[in-house]
Amino acid sequence: MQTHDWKIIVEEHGPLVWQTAQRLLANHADAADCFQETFLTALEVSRRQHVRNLPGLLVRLATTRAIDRLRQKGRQDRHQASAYDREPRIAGGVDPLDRLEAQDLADQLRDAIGRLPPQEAKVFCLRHLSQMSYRQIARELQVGIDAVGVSLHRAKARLREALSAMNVENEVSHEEKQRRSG
Amino acid sequence: MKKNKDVLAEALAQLRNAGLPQQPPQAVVDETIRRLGDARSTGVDPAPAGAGSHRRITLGTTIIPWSAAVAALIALGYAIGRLSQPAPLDMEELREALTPSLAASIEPAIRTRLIEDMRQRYQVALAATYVKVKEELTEQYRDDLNRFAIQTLAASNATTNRLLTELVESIDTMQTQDLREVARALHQIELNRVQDKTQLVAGLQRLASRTEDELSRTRRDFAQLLVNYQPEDSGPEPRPLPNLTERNQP
Repeated sequence: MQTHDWKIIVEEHGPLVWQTAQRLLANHADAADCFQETFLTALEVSRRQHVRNLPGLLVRLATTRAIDRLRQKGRQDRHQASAYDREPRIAGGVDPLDRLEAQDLADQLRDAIGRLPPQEAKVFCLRHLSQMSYRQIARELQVGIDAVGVSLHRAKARLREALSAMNVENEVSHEEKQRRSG
Repeated sequence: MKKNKDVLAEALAQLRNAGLPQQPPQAVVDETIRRLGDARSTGVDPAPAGAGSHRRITLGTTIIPWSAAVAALIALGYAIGRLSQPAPLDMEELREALTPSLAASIEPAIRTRLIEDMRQRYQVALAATYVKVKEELTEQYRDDLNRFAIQTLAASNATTNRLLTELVESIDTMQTQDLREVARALHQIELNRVQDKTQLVAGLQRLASRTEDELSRTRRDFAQLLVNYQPEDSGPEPRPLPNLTERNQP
C-alpha cells in the first residue's frame, strides 16, 4: 500500500478532476459529488494496488463517475434537470442567443454521451475531452489499443447519429411552433 | 455525413470551450479532504457500493479461520482463569475504587471526541449552508437584475412616449400658427388688390371723362373752324385760328 498525502493530492489535482466532472455534468452539486467520490475511490484503489500514474487514474475515475451520473440522470429526467440545473456561465461580449445555442449543443452532446455504452463513452471522453493518447487510454482502461480505436470509432458514429436525430427533432418542433404561432 | 461531422465537432468544441471554473470550490475541497481523513483513520471502505466488493469477499473468507482461532483462545483463557481464579472480590468495593480513576481517564477522551464530532458536523452543515446561500443569492441577484431591467425599460418607454407627444404637439402648434400667418397675409393681399382695383377704376373713369370732354371740345373747334373758313371770292378774309389759351376758354 502506498502512502500519499491526500491533502496535497487534492489541492494539486483537484482542478483537473473538477474540470473533468464539471465539463461533463454542468451541474455544481453533481460535480461536487463526483469530485469527492473520485478521490475516495482513488484512495481505495491506492490501498489495493500500486498507482503509477495518479493524474491518469483520477481523470479516469472522474470520467467514469461523471458518465455514471449522466446515465443515471438520463434514466430519471435528463431534460428537465438539464434545463433547470444548468450552471450560469459568464461569457462577456458574447451574443446571448449564440451562447444559448452553444449551451444547447453542449447539452445535446452530454445527453448523447450518457446514452452511449459505458466503455465507448469512457474512451470518447478520455480521448476528446481529456486529450489522452490511445496508449494512455489503453493503459488506464486495461484494454488493447485496437479495442480503444474500435470503441472510439463506434462512439463517434453513435454520437453523430444521435446529434443528427436531435437536430431533426429540434427543427421539426421549431417548425411546428412557428406554424402554430403564425 | 459532412454536416453530421461538423455538428459533432462543433458540439465537442462547445463542450471543451465552455466557461468552466478552473478551481473547485474551497468548501468542496475541504469536505473531500475531511472525508479522506475519516476514511484513512477508520480504515472503512470509503468507496460507494460496488467498488470494494472484491475486498469484502476476500476479508470474509479470511476472517472465518481467524475467528475460530480467537474463539478457541478465549475459551482456553476462560478455562484457565476459572481454574486459577482467587477468592471472589467484593464488586461494590471494586466499583467504588475504580469509578473515580475511570471517570478521570475516560472523560477527557470522550470530551475531545465529542468536540471533534460536533466540529465535523458543524463544518458539514456550514458547507451545505454556504452552497445553498450562494445559490439563493445568485438567484436573487439575477431576479433583481431582471426586475431592474424591466423597470428601466418601462421608464425609458414612458419618457420616450412623453417626449414624442410633446414634439408632435409643438409641431402641430407651429403648423397652426404658420397657417394663420399665411391666411392673414393672403387676406391683406386681397384687400390691397381690391383697393388697387377701385383706385384703377376711378382713375380710368376720370380719364375717360376727361378724354370725352376733350373730344367734344375738339369737335366743336373743328365745327367752328369749318364755319369760319370761307373762300377768297365768296367771303371776307378768314379770321386767324385761336391759340390754345383761347381755345381753352369757354
